[in-house]
Amino acid sequence: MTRYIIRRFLSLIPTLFLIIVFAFTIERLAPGGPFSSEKKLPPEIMANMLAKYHLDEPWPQQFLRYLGDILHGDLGPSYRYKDFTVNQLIFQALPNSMLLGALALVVAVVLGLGTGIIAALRQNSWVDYATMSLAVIGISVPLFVIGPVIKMVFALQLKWLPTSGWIDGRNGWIVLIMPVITLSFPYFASIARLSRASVLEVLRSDYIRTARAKGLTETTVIFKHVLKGAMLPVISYLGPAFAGIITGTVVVETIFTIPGMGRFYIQAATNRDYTLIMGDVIVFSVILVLMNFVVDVVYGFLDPRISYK
Amino acid sequence: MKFPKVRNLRIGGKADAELNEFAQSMKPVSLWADAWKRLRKNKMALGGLYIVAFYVVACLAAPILPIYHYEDQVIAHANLPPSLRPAGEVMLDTRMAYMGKVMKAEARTSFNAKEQAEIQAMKADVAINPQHKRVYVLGTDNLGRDLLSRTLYGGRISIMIGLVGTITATLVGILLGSIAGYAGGRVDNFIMRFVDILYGLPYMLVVIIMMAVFGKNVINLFVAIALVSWLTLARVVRGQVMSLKNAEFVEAARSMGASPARIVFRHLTPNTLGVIVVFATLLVPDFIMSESFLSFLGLGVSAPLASWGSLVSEGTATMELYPWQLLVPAISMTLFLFAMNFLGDGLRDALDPQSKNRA
Amino acid sequence: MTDEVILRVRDLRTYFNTDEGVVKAVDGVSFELRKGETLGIVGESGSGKSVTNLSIMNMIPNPPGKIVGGEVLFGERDLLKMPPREIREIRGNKISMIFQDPMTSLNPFLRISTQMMETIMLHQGLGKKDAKAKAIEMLALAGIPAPEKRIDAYPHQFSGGMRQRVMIAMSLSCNPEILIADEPTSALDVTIQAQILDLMKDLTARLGTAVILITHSLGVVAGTCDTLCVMYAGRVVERGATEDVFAAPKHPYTRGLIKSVPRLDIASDGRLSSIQGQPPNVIDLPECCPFYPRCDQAKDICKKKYPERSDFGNGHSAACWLYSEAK
Repeated sequence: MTRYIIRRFLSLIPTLFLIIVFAFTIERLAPGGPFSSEKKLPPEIMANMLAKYHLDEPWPQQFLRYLGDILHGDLGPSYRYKDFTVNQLIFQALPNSMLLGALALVVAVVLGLGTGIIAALRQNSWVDYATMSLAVIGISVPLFVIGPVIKMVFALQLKWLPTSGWIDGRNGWIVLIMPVITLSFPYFASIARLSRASVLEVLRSDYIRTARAKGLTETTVIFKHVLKGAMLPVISYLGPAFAGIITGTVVVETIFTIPGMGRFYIQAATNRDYTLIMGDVIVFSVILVLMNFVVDVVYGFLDPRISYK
Repeated sequence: MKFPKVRNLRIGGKADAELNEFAQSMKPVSLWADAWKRLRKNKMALGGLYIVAFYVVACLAAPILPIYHYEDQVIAHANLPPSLRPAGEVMLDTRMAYMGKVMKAEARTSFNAKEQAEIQAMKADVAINPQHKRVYVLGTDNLGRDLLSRTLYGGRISIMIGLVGTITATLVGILLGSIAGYAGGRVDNFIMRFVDILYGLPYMLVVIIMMAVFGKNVINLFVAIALVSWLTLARVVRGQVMSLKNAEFVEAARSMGASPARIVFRHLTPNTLGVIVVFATLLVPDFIMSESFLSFLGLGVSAPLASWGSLVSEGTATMELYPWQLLVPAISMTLFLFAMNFLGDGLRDALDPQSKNRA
Repeated sequence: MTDEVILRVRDLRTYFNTDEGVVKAVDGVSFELRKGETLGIVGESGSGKSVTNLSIMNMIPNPPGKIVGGEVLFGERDLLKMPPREIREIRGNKISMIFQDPMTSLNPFLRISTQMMETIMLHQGLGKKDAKAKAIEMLALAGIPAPEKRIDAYPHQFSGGMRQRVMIAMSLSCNPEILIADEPTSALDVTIQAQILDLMKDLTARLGTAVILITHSLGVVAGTCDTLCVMYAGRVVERGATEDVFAAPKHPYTRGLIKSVPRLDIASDGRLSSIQGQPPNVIDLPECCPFYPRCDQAKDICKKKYPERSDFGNGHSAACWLYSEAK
């Protein structure tokens, strides 16, 4: 088991490395640069600025410097917001996105699992059809349609919820409801479908037949025998689900005007603030990669075929 | 190579037909015929198929349909709600309704002279100008462009991106997956590590960067998305190839001298085709969603071209006052994605009813 | 083996609703089981043997299957009419079942100890420690070395033969009156098969358990069963004491089966003999003897009516028109 964990951990490194290389390459290759939007600067000043940002050094040297900076946790200065470093900007926005993402994930998992399991146990009943139809909606309708529609219905027409804003002096937790529901919806749908299919498949397996033949009550069969096996595909899915949620924050934050990293990301992309983009990507990737690692480890714990080789 | 027919050699024995009177029927049913039968029974999937077909035909035929051009702007007709009445009347009604609101806000009971003059002028114009005879079945946007037409053309772009992207991703996935699966060993390891790493990336973010950096045109768009969409398919194909590689019929083919290429194409691929079709079908809505996502954020298709994503984006801005501008493209796109998902699910059930590949 | 009958199956019928029609998997099966007796049920695939067993314990998945008629009398009570709570008390406790594939019949996510103890604790009301001791005892009886160490392992850490031993130990741990074994050795290597069969014979003799053994192998039947039932197309075509049936098989199908086992002690002409034709598709079978297309002694009446049962003494009977006249 420890070997498994170590192996999984080691595999993180190439991924992260690749991302950093990629970030660096794009930044250097991109047309335009930190100064292209300003007026034409005289050559000496240009040279000075280039030297200041180390942009006049040969690429390999720049890369090593960049790598060193990152390992020290320094993501560089923002090209756009000249007074701030990328670190400052990101860590201002990160907690908001993390809160949004984490809540969305929890809601998706809890509701998804619950719905999926109930649907499987009451297969072909109205509960099954209702929940699975809801799930199909969840995976077919894009986030950027769900969000505005929810906003339109609940905030503009029914006026139950505030249209935008984040938690601060004026708004309490109520502001979270719409963005979290929007963001979690597609993943709730996938998890519901996945867990339903998984439970159904386990119910058909031989070892459940054995359990029934031993005279165990249906409750015991479900909670003790079915659940553990059925959960595994859902756990595996959590990695990609979280990746999707990270991506989704970009849209949801834009629609509900939440000051999070997603919105920053888009603005940075449109503004060509490369260091900010790269910083964002790296932070997102680190989080994602760590999350995948945690998922792998949890999976390893749950499946004895892995932990007891 | 033909084998001699083995007959029952017992003297005085019965003929085959008699013996097997009650036997299980041995009629060969091809995989596809069987699957089609199953698919036909699935009403939702069939419905999905019809809807998808309808969309594809409608959108492809857009240039020859009797609809207004999607770039055609008639400012006077801006922001008209969906209606079957001629635009002139709708325009008048909308304007008068607005004036009525102003009137109420100013606590009057009738129109003042300026307003009445405006109404008269409009009525005169409506009577003369043939443009006002247009019918905007789905309403117009803020520049007076017909939403029906824009949605159809938007659909064209979105569906084409979906189809072309899926085909590309599928081909790449099949190629790399088969190579990895069949070759095994270091080649396999290398390719799969590569896939694993790419899988770990938040690829949408990567795509966003690429669009921002390299410019927003359709080619970039779909190269960027296609670049990361082949992963799952490659994995699936590899899995299939690996499990089939050691199957007995491959041994048999090999023992008869078939070359590896022949084995891959004539023996392995048909078996994996079912899975490939299912995944590919489900990749199309994925692609369309990705493209719409980017367009929504302003990083995809740019004006004057429209895709469903950009239309929804425009609609979001005005949804308070003119909700149909959001709802028309949103519902159109959603309906199509629904249909494709049902179709994909149905295909999966039809081709492999005991499939474990569910998500 | 005593004379006390503990299980009576009468005219059991189990049908399945499929897209192609109604599959009459079990269509009028009757037999009796005595205390301590080992009864073999033999037949080809599709003859209805496994469905018969699942029906006895009322474990047919519904839909698509349904037990549409008959009785299964265990003692005085009809198992088919019992409410779920009561039949659960019988399962694993008075009547146990083991299945064909030991790889998939054990829950891969739970330890062996958990899986064995839950039955013992449920049916015998023992506490955890006592249950574990009993489980270890059963494992030892089943021939698992160092059971106190291995009991906490997971199924995938055992080999196929070991897993089947575990299954046997698990099924006998509550000392049931009947053990139903559905092709317990078909998925195992030949050498292991013999060991497992010996183990079953030994343990059930010691504990006085009656056994219903389902198999497609006549060799297994000859070695282990006191009585046997031969099934074809959902019905019992011949039954009786093993010796009687082997010595003088009455039904043409049984004869064909016995003849098709290659023997070293009889000079042969080099050809293997087999029963011509294929097993029947049990959907929409007409009213007739289902074996007649493959039978070389078929008469006219065989095509029209299902044969009546003829008795040959000592419990040996067969359903064939060769031995009775139509009335």
